Amino acid sequence: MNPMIQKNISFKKEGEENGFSSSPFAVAREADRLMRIKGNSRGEMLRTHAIYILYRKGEEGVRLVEKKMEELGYPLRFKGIRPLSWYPEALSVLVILCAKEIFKWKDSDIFDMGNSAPKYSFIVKLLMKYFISPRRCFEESPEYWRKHFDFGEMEASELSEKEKYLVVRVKGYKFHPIICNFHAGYFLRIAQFLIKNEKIAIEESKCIYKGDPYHEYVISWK
Amino acid sequence: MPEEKLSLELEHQKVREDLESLERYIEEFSEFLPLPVCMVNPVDVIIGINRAFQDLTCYNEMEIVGKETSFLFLEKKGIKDLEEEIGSRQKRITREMTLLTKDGGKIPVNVSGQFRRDEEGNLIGYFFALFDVSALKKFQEELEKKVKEKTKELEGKTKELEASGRALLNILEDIRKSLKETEEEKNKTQAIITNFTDGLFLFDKENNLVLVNPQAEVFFKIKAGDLINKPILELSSISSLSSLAKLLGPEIKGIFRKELQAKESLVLEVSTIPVMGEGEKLGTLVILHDVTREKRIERMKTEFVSIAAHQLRTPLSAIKWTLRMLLDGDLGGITEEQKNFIEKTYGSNERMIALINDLLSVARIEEGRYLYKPTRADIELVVRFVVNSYKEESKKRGIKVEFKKPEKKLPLVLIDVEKMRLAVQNLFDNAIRYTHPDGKVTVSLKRVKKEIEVSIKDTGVGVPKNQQERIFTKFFRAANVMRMQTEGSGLGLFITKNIIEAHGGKIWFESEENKGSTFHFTLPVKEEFGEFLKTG
Repeated sequence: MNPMIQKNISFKKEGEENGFSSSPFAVAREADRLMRIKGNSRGEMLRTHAIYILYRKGEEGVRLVEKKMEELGYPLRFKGIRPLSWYPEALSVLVILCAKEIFKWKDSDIFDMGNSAPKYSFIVKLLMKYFISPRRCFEESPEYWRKHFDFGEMEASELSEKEKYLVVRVKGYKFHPIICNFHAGYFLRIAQFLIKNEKIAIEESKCIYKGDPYHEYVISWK
Repeated sequence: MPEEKLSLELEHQKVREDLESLERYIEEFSEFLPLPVCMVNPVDVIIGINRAFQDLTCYNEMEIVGKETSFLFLEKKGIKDLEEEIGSRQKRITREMTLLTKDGGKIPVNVSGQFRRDEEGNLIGYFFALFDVSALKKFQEELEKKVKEKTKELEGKTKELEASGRALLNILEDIRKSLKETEEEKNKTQAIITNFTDGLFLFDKENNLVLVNPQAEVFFKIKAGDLINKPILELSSISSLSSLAKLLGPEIKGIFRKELQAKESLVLEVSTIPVMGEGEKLGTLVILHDVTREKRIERMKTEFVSIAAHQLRTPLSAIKWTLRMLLDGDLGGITEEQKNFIEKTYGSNERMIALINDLLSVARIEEGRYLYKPTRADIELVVRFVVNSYKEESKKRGIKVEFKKPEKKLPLVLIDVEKMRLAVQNLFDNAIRYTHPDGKVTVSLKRVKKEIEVSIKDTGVGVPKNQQERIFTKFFRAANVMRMQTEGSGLGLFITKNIIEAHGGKIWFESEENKGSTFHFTLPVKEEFGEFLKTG
């Protein structure tokens, strides 16, 4: 993981946000809560989770996560996931929470998980035509969101190529604060595809769990 | 409306399924594709790779996607240039580069790049395919190495060939030169042969006549063309050449020199010389030297000496007898002083008569009419007679004389007694004359196989080593004896040698200066008098 990125991201401490927790018992409690939240994402999201776990922990790691999901009452077989089908976003969040619990991952690992996801995402490859310039990508980001989720929205808020920063907002997404890190990593990777600068950084300047009306991410580079 | 929504949803579902099938297809194809391929976005960031690319680079997708292409290649600027070139030339470009693998390897690869555009024609990135050319490169390097080695080898061989060529040219040049020299030499030889005043016949080793020079043609009135390649036996049937063929013999005798009366007015000195080449006899050269004029002069000289000697001997005899009468007092008394003078004159006259006799002998020898009275005689008696006749003289000189009788009675030999006595006398006289007082002369005879050997040994002055070769030549007197005795004609040993050889015998000597000499001669006991009878 790029230390520069780590330095600019203030990871949320475990369980500190509004009573959310990823501890073993908390995950079990969270599962049912999460599953009650409406909203779907493409199967590709689940698939990229599986690829990352496979990369970090091998087949056994994937199996352990699947087992945990079963234990939680939400059995899932990654191989059966269809990348373009809609699945509850809660499953995606739950998989991340399971992995964090099983592998004792820190928030930085979750950030890395999000940062790695675009590398092997089929949808990203499909949408690669948007990645020809920072501006184009920025402009297309709402559409990009819609390709992945059937709820919430992404707002391309601000781009200053001169001052070298951009601001995007995620509205209507409130599943679990762990996803803030995942999304930060994810959005940063998309920016890294287009902005070749080692000193590129992302910061969540606003967070719905901090009482803000939306998530706001500021990506800056030098 | 719900039906329309359902229909739309189903259509979306179908599109999704098709898209997923396509994704699986692409996934499978990408997995299968043995060619390492990567996708790069317009800002040179890798956004996708296939399995073969992972295998070749040893990086997995996680490690490589999101990075710039330049970290993969040794030629950092190379991939950028390639992208620019692809952009400018709008076609696939291939360039050779060095791939840096995760495990530190460096693989030579051909990188082929092709740009990607969206529906609106915007550049959305590139495809790059890598061709591992390490095996090809290795093969190429080995090939180049081999080519280099072979080239070097060929250069070496070429140099050798050039050197050989130069050497051959040199050899050729040498041969040309040698041929020219040989030709010149041949021409010279031919000119010499043609213009040689001597006649030449050259026979090959089978005794076939291979060369006749113009002078030989003149001598024998023959044409070379008629005789070339004919064997010597065939030449004997040609009248003009029969005497020569007879002289040479059927096998052509080795080195010899003889005279040939080829015609009434032509005397030739015939010499044969074997022609040798690398130790092998290649043939025989017969040289015919015209000695007609020399022979004529020699004969005239001999005749002159003979006539002069005869003419001188008569008055000398008259002087001798007149002086004798004066000394004996037949013509009246003379004083002692007168007697002394007359005795000296008488002695001088005697020596002159002896010289005249020697000159006559030489003249007769040279005329070939010296021996004429061969009879069977006892050589011991001849020798003893000579020894006895010197008894007084040897006594007067204080020289001891020993006569060693043969162990057995010697057989008679066919000799001209008078001439043989002269030969022995010449040898014995020399022995007495050149031996100092108190010296000794030993005379011995013995039978050796079919010969009788006579030896006369003295303890005299000897013959100087460097003059021994000339001892039997006419008028030769050794330097040491000339100092001792001013008298002497130098003809004695010449005459003696001719007498002995005319009898079919041999004569030789051993001598050491100041120690003495031993002269030996042999005479054949039985036949073998062919030459003797002829000359006799």
